[in-house]
Amino acid sequence: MPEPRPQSGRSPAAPLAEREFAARLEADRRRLWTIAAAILGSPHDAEDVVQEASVIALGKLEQFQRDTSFLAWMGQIVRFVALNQMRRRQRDRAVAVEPDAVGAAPVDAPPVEGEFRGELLAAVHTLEETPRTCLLLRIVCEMSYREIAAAMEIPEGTAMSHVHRSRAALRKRLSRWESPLVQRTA
Amino acid sequence: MAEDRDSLLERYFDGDLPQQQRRQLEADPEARSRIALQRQIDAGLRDIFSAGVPDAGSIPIESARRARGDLSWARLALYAAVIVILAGAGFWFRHSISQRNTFNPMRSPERIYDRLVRAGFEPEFVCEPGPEFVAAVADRFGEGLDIEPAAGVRVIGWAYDSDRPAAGSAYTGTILSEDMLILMAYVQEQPVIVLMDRLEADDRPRLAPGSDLHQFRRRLDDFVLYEVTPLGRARLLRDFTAP
Repeated sequence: MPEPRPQSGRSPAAPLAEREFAARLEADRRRLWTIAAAILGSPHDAEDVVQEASVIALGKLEQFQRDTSFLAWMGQIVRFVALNQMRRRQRDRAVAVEPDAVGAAPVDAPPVEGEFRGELLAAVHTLEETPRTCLLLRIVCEMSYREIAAAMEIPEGTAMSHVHRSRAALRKRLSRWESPLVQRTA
Repeated sequence: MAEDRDSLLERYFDGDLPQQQRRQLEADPEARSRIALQRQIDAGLRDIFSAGVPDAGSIPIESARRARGDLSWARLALYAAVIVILAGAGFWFRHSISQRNTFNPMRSPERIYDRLVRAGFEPEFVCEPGPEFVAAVADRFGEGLDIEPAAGVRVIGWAYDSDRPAAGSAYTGTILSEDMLILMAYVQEQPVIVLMDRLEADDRPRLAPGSDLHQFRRRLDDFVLYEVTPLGRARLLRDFTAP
């Protein structure tokens, strides 16, 4: 699905008006929220990240160029804010001497129901941030590789590779959940 | 070979595989098993990463002001529009996916607001902004918050969530946690409350659908604050500061 590009008829150099910003933000809200959730590794706090990013973006509207992708521009700000929050979390966890569980969900991860979902969330946290974001944009937002590439500012082939490898990595880590009827017996 | 199968599987998941090859893959028990697992993974990811809900919270006005200088009415209108958009989308999204945050009348902040207003809106503990205010918060949470005096705002003191059902009741929860403080104030002569608790206790309380009240959320350091107000926008939240 192509990214919505309102036809305002304005010069590419004209700054984005705040009303336009609000409209574009709403059009991409779901995707931006997913980027934040993917980087944080959980949906919790994704809303705060998008809100904080929106405030920052409002102060930089003159920097947005109309002939470029709003999702890429806004996504970059969301990634920046989310990564900052991740660093703060890691610092806080270090101070609080949280138990070090490699690959475990962050301490504020939402409660998950069921053993499979718990393992899935833990497996997702073993992925690097960029592959994880590509994977979730593909699966949760059903974006094309071209759209993911634009949003993440990476080549299309790289976006595809991230998704393929991430899917395979998750299947491998969760292989015990494959149907026992067709598992190898020897 | 395993690699060939993995490659075919990825093309299968991307919908790029011709029909004949799809059928061949689906006829392979091992591939079929992996397809089933991937579908289970996809469904799980959609479930988990669709469950976080944009809350009916406000754009942090204080941060916006710092970032952008003075606030024009046009800018405030924009923030309000963004709030309404996020709140509306969040409301729909939360209702459609998450049962965790559905409205619970026993846990609604309206319950506290209504109780306090019915009782004459008298604080249990009178307190004004300043050192006494900071100390009261620190006494409860281990770290303090202050609120800056502002025109049109009259902070009158604290209340406590003493309206909890008796032991043995079916309802055993609280709005946030048992430590929650309730700040009482008048804004433009309207009674307004702020629920204050540790961030870790935040359970995203909700107002009743169609409520006459409005609720705004702010996260400040390790605190979460909910302003419950009959007014259309948050007025107290932006005045909180971490000393």
